[in-house]
Amino acid sequence: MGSQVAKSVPVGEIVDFDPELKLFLHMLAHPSERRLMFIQAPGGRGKTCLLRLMRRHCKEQGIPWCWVNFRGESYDNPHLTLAREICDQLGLVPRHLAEALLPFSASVTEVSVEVQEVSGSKIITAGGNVIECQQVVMTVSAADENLRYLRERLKRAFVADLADLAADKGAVVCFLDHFEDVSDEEESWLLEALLSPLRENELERVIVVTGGRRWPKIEDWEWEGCAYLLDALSSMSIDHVKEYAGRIGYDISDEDAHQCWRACREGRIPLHMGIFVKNLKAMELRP
Amino acid sequence: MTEITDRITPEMSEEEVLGVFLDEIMAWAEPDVAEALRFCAIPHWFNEEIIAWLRGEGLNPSQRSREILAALTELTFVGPYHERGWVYHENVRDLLLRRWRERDSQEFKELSGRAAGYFEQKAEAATDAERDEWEREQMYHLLAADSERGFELFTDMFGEARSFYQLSTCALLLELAEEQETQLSADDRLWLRFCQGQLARESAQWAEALAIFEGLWGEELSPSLESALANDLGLLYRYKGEWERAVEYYERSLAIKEKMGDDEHGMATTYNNLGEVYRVKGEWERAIECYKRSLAINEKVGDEHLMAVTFNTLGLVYKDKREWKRAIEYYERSLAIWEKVGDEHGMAATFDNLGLVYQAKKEWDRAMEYHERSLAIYEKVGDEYGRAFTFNNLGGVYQAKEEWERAIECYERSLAIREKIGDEHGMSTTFNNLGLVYQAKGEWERAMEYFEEDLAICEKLGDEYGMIPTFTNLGGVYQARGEWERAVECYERSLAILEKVGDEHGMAFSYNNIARLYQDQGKLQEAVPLFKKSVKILERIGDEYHAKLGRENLARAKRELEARKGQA
Repeated sequence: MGSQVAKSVPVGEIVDFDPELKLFLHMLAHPSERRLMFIQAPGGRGKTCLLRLMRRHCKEQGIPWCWVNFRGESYDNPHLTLAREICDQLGLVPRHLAEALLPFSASVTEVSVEVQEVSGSKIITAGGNVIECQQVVMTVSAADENLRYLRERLKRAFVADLADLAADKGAVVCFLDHFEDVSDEEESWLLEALLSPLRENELERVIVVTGGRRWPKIEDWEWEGCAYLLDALSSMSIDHVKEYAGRIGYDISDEDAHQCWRACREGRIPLHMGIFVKNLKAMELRP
Repeated sequence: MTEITDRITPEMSEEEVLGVFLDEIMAWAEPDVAEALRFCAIPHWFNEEIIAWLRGEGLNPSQRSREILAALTELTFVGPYHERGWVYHENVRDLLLRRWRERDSQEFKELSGRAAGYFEQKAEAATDAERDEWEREQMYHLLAADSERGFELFTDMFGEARSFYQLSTCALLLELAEEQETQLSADDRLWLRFCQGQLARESAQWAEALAIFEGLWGEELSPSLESALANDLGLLYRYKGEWERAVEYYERSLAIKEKMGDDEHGMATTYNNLGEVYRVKGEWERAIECYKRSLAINEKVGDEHLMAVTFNTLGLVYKDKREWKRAIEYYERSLAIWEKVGDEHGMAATFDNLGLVYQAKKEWDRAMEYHERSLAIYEKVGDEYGRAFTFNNLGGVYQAKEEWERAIECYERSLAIREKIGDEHGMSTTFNNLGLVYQAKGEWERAMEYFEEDLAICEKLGDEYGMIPTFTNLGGVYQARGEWERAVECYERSLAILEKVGDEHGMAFSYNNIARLYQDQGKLQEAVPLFKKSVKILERIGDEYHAKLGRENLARAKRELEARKGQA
């Protein structure tokens, strides 16, 4: 679909993001402490670039990683589709997932609407005390039950597959970018199958970093003990502006670098800095 | 000093600053690059083919289009997109689009129409797997260029995704349509909100769905939207246990559909929904009337699947009415269709239902025969989940026969399968049932052990709703042992969950249970207000059958209280 020769210098890569990267390296070195990092910041702050820097570290160190960008993508039935996407990217053969699907391969996977009454499914009675009824037998849809069971089963299989890989490789990192675009369905699966097992120590040596305009929908107080919750990113310095200018071949004056830094909300918006310096360069070249 | 910084003041918003930067780029870029810079904000992503198409070159990019792409990719806010092409940073794209719409909406529409044409061509040539994505893009651009056609495409795609329970796709489609909301007609905007409510409901976000639907109800709606909204409000109120309101909305929906006269399938669905409310309320005759009306429509339009479902539901109603013969008749009619269309899952479900009727009739052998026929199907198709299900039902037959050992044996077989396949929800159910058998045998300790096992699983799975009956049953054991305080504690925990999830019907039952417990202890002062609370809820939500029983309980407790006062 067209050539993809990137000629621009990713502006966010100029920023060191030292504190954030240190936290990430700490997570890799001490996965028993915290294995989650949730980053939220408005657009243009360099979230994606920071995630890319972390990913670069994984590449260099040979740590298996996956990258899911939720912008413009949808994963219906994420217990299957998103789970597979993550497994595929990690180069993981999902043995447990395949086994979990086995009992369904020959029979019912269709979601139908018939109502089936289940005897004793949950008998809500306390010695016949429920308003003089002897028993209240719950009526459930067999299809709903089947689906709920299938999801639970796939979730546990996914956790098992991931745990196996992490045990084998020493560590696995999942990057989830543009988290603000995650659907309720996807988020609910991510919470159940990935984030909560990490919080509950069911998964070890798996690290998840989310980036977006918002964190996952969580109660901060419940997660702050097990996740790094970042709601701002490091700012650029004037030296960063100069470095960027140098990389794109523009000799920026101290004064312009300072003006640029100020115009970018004192270095907080790398996106603006990149455009600004490019403009300066273009002006210089303009006849 | 530079010209740019002169134009930036500290009071400017981030977006205004970005606007200044973009204007500057437009000023120094070559004219066709500046033009393409705007064009490329139209699609969510772009490549040389799209640039060529938007520049009017068709699908074959010229050298100049390639050069333009190269120039664009040098910009810092352009990055790769899912290995398909390139994408602007969202801040930049949003700003470009907003300014464009404001300044030259006609040109924006024209370009959107051109983009829609591109994606339409791609969709036509795409494989099945890729088509959805191209069609989504086509729909998005049509919404801007020709909102009527675009919205028609949106409703088709949303309806299809919803019918396949593709909730993430539904969310994505809504997001795309919301981006173009300003281009929509007033009526389409209302439909869009309705779709948002539907997605919230499908995602079990009932409070959000209700807020959307109730908000819409106050608007001026077209008849078709009003009838659809009324039906969905009915569904929501049914979930919430507010039956009177559910009935009210279903009936409004039916009245509108009848007046419109062009939505028979919709009428059948609403009749089924209404019938379901009457069934759970115990208003059998009304339920049957609704199902029969639905059946008549299904027969007319030849929808065999829905006919089988409706026959099955009629069987359930007659079973509730204890009219066994008719229940069996309807189940058999349902079975005949399942057999005809070769739906083994439907057959197995109906065999189980037939087993339950014979169980209720205390015809144990026939009940077991049907459960075994169901079991045979599950074994044939290798459905372990179904096997565990039916062993559980067989256990229920032995339990009803008070053949405790055989009941235990069946439940244990069900449990073994569920353990093997890792069906923890199912295990929780079977632990509960085993607890009930041991409770009936008077083996309190073992009963408690099983209830505790059940609770542990529910806790692990975060299944609070599943804990409600177990706390109630555990409370029952304590009550039977005369351990009143612990029994109250269990009932109150069950009540707390019911209150938390807002299950008013369950709360009414729970208040009644606790009141009975106090009554047994002679604490009538505590019992009477709880009976009152229970009756009040039941009357409000329209469960007349249980409200009547509740009133009897209340009257009895009051009489006892009066008598005691008299004695004093």
